[in-house]
Amino acid sequence: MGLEWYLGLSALLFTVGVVGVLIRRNAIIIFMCIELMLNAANLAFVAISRELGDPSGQVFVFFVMTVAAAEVAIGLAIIVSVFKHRETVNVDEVDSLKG
Amino acid sequence: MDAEPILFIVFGALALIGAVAVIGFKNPVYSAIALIGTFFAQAGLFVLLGAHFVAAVQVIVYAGAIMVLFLFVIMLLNLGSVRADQPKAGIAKGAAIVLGIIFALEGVYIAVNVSKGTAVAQVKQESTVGGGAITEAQLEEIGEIEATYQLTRDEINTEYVPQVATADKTLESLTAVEAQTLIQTIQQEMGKTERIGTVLFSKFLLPFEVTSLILLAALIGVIALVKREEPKEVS
Repeated sequence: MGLEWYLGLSALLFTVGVVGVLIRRNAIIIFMCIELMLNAANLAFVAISRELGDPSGQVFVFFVMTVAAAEVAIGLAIIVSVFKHRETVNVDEVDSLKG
Repeated sequence: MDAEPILFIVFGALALIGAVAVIGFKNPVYSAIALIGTFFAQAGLFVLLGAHFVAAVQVIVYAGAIMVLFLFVIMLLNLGSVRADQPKAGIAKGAAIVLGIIFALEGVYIAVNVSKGTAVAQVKQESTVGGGAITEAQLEEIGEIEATYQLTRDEINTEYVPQVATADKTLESLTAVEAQTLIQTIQQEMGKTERIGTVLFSKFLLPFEVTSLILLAALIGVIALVKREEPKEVS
């Protein structure tokens, strides 16, 4: 299987993540879509890593996963505290910062 | 080798179906389960690409830790049957889908073109390997591999040379074709935990340490965020 198949699949997965962020209003689902995008990037990293015979791509995936784990922990903590104050996770209703 | 296209299509289709299901389901619990499916399918794709360590970490960290956190929060907030999440109104949704299609086409176009570029480079590289003894360029490449993975010449002679030639040969006495096979053999083992570990703790040692700082910051941040403000009077 050539590189283009993996990169194409990665692009499609990333697109699904972008569309999800745009059309859903539940903050938790938006978070899951961000995870989808990070995973699509990981797939591209590993595919190119194999193509070039360079292990750096796989090490980068490791770092992306670490950052994703940190991001999910913080993000979910924010969602929990927003829910405690506002009783909602709908991002359209959480608009106090709107100018 | 023949199984790769079939497995790619199976895992790729599973990943895409799971991804679409994530944004399709109304109930966040179902979305989370679909996302776990996508992560498993991607772990399969990583195995196909020879990245065994990354595949294992994918299942353990993503499908295990991160998704448990998601499910835990969904259950904690009792969102199973929320009223809140009607999809956005017509115009926003339509615009999002149009943008999505454009974005997908763009991505696929770039993917195809990028791989055309690398394919040309590869053909050039392969065409230089002819008969005769091992070339300077190959020795240089093996030198780079030794530096990256911290292998000694002895290890290559005892472990990898017998795989491509007879055991009594050493690296310097290989033919160019055998040397090319040797380089490919070592590169195919790139995803092994041992190799990734060596690279992670040599070339990427500083980023690795910085990662621990990020995790520490996240840890402190989460504790500060969810800390209960204790009322003054303690009962």
